[in-house]
Amino acid sequence: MQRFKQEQGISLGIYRITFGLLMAFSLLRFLYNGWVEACYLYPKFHFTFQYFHWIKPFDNPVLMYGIVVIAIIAAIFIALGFWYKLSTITFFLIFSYLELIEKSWYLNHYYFVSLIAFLLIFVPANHHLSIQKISSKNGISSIFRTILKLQISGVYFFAGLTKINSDWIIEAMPLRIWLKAKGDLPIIGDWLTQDWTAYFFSYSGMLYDLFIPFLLWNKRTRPFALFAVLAFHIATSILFPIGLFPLIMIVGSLIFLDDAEWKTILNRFRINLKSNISNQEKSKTPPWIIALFSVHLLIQIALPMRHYFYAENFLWTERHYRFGWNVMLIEKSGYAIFKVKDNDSDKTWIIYPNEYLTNIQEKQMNFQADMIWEFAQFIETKFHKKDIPNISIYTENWVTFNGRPSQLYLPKTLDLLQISEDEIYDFILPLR
Amino acid sequence: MKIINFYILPIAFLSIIVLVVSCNHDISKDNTSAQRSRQLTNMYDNGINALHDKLEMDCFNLFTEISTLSQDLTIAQLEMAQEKWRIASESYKRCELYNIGDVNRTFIRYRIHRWETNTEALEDSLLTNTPATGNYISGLGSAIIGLAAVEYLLFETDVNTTLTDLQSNTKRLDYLVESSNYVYQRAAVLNTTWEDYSIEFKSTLENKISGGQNLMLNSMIAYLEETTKVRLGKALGESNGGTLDIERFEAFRSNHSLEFIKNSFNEFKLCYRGNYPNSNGFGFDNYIIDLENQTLSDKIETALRNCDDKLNALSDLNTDLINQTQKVIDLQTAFQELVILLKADLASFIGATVTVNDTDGD
Repeated sequence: MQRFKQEQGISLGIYRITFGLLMAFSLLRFLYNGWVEACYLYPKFHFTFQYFHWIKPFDNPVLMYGIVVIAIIAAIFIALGFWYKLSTITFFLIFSYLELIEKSWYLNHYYFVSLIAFLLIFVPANHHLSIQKISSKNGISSIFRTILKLQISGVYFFAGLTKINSDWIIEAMPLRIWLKAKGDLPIIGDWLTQDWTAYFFSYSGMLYDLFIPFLLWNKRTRPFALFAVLAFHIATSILFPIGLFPLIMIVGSLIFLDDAEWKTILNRFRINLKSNISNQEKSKTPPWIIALFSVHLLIQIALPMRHYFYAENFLWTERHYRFGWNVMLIEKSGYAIFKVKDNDSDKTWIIYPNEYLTNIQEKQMNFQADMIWEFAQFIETKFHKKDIPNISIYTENWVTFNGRPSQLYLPKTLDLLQISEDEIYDFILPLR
Repeated sequence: MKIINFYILPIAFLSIIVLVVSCNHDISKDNTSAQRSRQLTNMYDNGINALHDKLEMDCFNLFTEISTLSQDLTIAQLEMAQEKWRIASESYKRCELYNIGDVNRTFIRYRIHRWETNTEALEDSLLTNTPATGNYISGLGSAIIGLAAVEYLLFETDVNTTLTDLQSNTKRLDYLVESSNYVYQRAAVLNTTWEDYSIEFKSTLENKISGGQNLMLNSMIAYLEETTKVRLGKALGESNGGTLDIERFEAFRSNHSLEFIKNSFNEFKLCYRGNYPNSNGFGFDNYIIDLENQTLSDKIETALRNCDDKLNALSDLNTDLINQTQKVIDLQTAFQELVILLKADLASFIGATVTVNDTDGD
């Protein structure tokens, strides 16, 4: 048994409550905006993640809406600390399932939520301030709060690290494009159209991401860091359509406050949480928990670093781009059509993706090679059903990246049916 | 006193900096909102408004001419009616680009013109005993009414056969008259709808999905994509394995498909350049140049001229599809190049959202 410093669990309890409530709100918003329909039920075809192609949505709308409602209930139960273990497992499984159904809707913060939900299964965040246990005389190991802090720190740090690239630093791209588009905002609108503003935001954003975890960890700098978190995320939520991401990260920063700091804050609101636990006491932590968290951390370090093993501009190819905290790094748009050739009769067809894809699916596919490949496989099945088995599929695919003129992304002569999902990245034409 | 020191003084200091920087800003250029406002105001006041007035008038003239035809079934009068159909249809093709926002949500567009017309269902409805009154026509599905149905009734056969058909079948004639009347009524409603929507259109200056500029760019892209895919691609056999098919052109009966494309493309250019008659000439091109991307502006201009050249190289699509297929393919390629520039380069550059869905993104 490894011994770690003991904590009362107030900080974990508060994080659990805010996370649960935020997730319930997030999923209610998902329902309200009609995104269950748009993302899961309406599309004729779904882009799925590598190794998870077997994951499909329910055809029955009642089931699809039903599991979202179950996830909302689970999130509320997490907030309450009610049937905590069952609720965290349920929430994690359903949320991850929803995320894995459709790749074109991938967002870093959805992935982040899945990771936190996974960790909460093993973190006894219901130890304090839960409906079944308002307070506890026993302490819990500090490792549980530490793993959450490390997870959140990783998001920031790797997001900062990937911002160290020439487009971001030398060209202030893509912020230069996005901020200019916000020139209509009152008072600050004019500033946003200026180049220096884009550079200011680029550098301050990069420095913020790189250093905020350290400032949050340090007790002396924590008040300043919390203020910076608040200011930064409020600013980004005003400027960019990033949904609940700012709120999720603001809530995430609360985990850095320790029990003593929370007690001080709560005391100001005349809420007094007594404790018999000394900071000096050590708590036993099962070895398997330490092993599990260590493996988790190793994976969390490895995933954002994968792209460094390839001598290419991964912002252009997007090889290993997902699950790597590559946040707001690229402005891409594209255009793609597909040519199907029957090798037996020499007949040709042109496939326009909007015949089969929703707007958001088409928009995302147009600049992501693995999705181009996946759509080609889908077309192949369509032609096989028409009894045309021997076909080749080619694409004419143009992509514009961070303000550069559009250029051909994949060779027009590349038969997409002759290569694997991994191989397609090797055929992406070099960025000019 | 402490409050003053800690809060008010820093805020006052920041406010002074804000003011100084604001005053220092280059005032020779409009800000983004003013630019968008100029563009959208110009678009509606000098383009859309006049265009929809003209459509209403042209549709009224079509109805009047067809009413006269019903009293005077002669070749000369039939040809007059056909000519009025051409004029009204060309007007409509120009308006089609502006099917956005509230106007789009009314679905009036489909009641005025829905291509392709379902001729079988139309003939079936002519066989029923129900008189072809205004109420009857307004209750029919959009695939058997509107300008496409009127084209079918006026152009399906040669003038003599058409006249004979109209003379021998009262319901056919009534159907034609009431269809043209319905088109006119819908054109009037479309005009009013645009008038009602115009204030919102001109004042929605934000960079969001419902923003006027964003809506217009999406509509322009949709128009170009529809032209490459449907108006040209289907006839070129893209969806049937490569067999050329004249009947997949939009107005093959009147052999007016090329004029349809030319008219809508001319409107597209006006919308892009903003150089409507009597206007300030502020369009997307000026907006791009103000945002300091002369290269992109030049590229789009070149692509526009290329489309014009390819259009002018054709005489009529029905004949050219068979005899000069490559020229039709060249036209489609020219449009495709323009789609790429608008959908990828321009949309990306001005931060427009080329989608109707709104979602979170990070």
